[in-house]
Amino acid sequence: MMLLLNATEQAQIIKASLETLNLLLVSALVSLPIGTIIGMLLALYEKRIFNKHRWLIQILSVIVSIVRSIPFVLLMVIIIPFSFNTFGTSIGYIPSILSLSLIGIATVSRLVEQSVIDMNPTIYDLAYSMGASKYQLFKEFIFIEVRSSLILAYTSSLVSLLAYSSVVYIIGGGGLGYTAIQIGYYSPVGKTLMWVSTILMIIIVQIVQLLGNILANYLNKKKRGH
Amino acid sequence: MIELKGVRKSFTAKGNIVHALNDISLKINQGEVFGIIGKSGVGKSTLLKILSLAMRPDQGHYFLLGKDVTEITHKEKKQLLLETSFIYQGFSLLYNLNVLDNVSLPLKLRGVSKEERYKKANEMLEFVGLSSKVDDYPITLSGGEAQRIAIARALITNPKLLFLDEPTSALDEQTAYDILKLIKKTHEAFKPTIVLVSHQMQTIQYLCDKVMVLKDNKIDRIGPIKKLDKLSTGYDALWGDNL
Repeated sequence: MMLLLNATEQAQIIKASLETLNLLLVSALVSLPIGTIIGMLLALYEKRIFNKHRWLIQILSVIVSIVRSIPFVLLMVIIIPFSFNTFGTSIGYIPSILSLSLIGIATVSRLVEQSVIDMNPTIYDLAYSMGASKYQLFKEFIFIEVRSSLILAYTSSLVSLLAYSSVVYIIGGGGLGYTAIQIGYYSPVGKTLMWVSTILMIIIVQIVQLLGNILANYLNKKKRGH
Repeated sequence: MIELKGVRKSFTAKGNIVHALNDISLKINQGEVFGIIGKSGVGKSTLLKILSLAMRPDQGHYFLLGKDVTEITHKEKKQLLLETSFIYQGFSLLYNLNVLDNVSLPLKLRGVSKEERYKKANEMLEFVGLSSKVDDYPITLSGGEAQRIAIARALITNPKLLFLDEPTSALDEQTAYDILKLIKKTHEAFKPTIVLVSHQMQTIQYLCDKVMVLKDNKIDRIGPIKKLDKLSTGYDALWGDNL
């Protein structure tokens, strides 16, 4: 595939691929843990395992819904003033990571929330009857039971983040979206670069999905044959 | 061991107050097997939830192991929970843990070392006749085997008090009978006080020393099982086909 490109294009595609992987990795490192915590909180309040400061969680839930409702292109633009005031830059890597992390947190939260809500409800009674603490409820019961659906939720979120990362070139974030559209599509001789960028994106998605499925399958003992 | 005095519990459903339990008083002595029977909606599950500390009564007092649980702290309640075990109708095994880890889970929560809790779990699995299943996952077990695993898990902490919520209702006749025999064997071997909820009189009659019949969300009759005669009490509807 790389042989279809000249030396300059090859350098551009390698640089763009590394930028995409960087954007994906850093935004995932931010959004997966924070989104998991928020998603767990939303679900446990929904299930009335926690009750204190319920209003705070309701506000959090509204914020998550609002973030998910804003089209990503607009979210990137909205975040520019915040990025400028806080980090002194309105374009490039920082606002790209900020917007990707924000949408990532919202996406992961809702997917994790749904995984926990779908869990067998008698697990809560079981944990209570065994005298489990709140931490033990999470670690020894909820996490064990939902871990494979969490992996699938993370996989789905990573695929979404990859899709979102293809448009951060608009605010100077670079990546394969930049080589595919800005250099590839808009150039009369760049169509090969556009196709190579697209195929690389497809390959990354397939690898992420495959690894997610293998891990989720390994952790899921609810299916016969394990 | 257990004493209820004038316990009441109500719920609000669609704006109406539903009296789930009215003026329930009872006493269960140590080592007894006490049955609670009644048709659906008479408050059996609510009563079991109160007895197993999952719910507080609105009125009245509940004494468990000498403590008034309506007035205890959260920490004291946790301590009491460590003296009890619960066996559910739907087995409630963790499907992503193998049999050995499921059975040893209560000891893990108590901080017991892996070696010690696995040793005890193996003993319990031997007691329920499923030593060969240690590495299996619950999805591969039959209903009867899953309930035996749930019994082994409940016994691993050597509880003073065992709550059973319709333990055989999800099982076929023969398997249900095998489970009842195992519960009887459990009582003979470990002598826990057992509180059993069922809607089947045969189950109650097979296992219990004393029985309480709930009707219209209050006690209709309470006493030794032998006095609750099938023909004279008019509880024919409670005599199901099973067992």
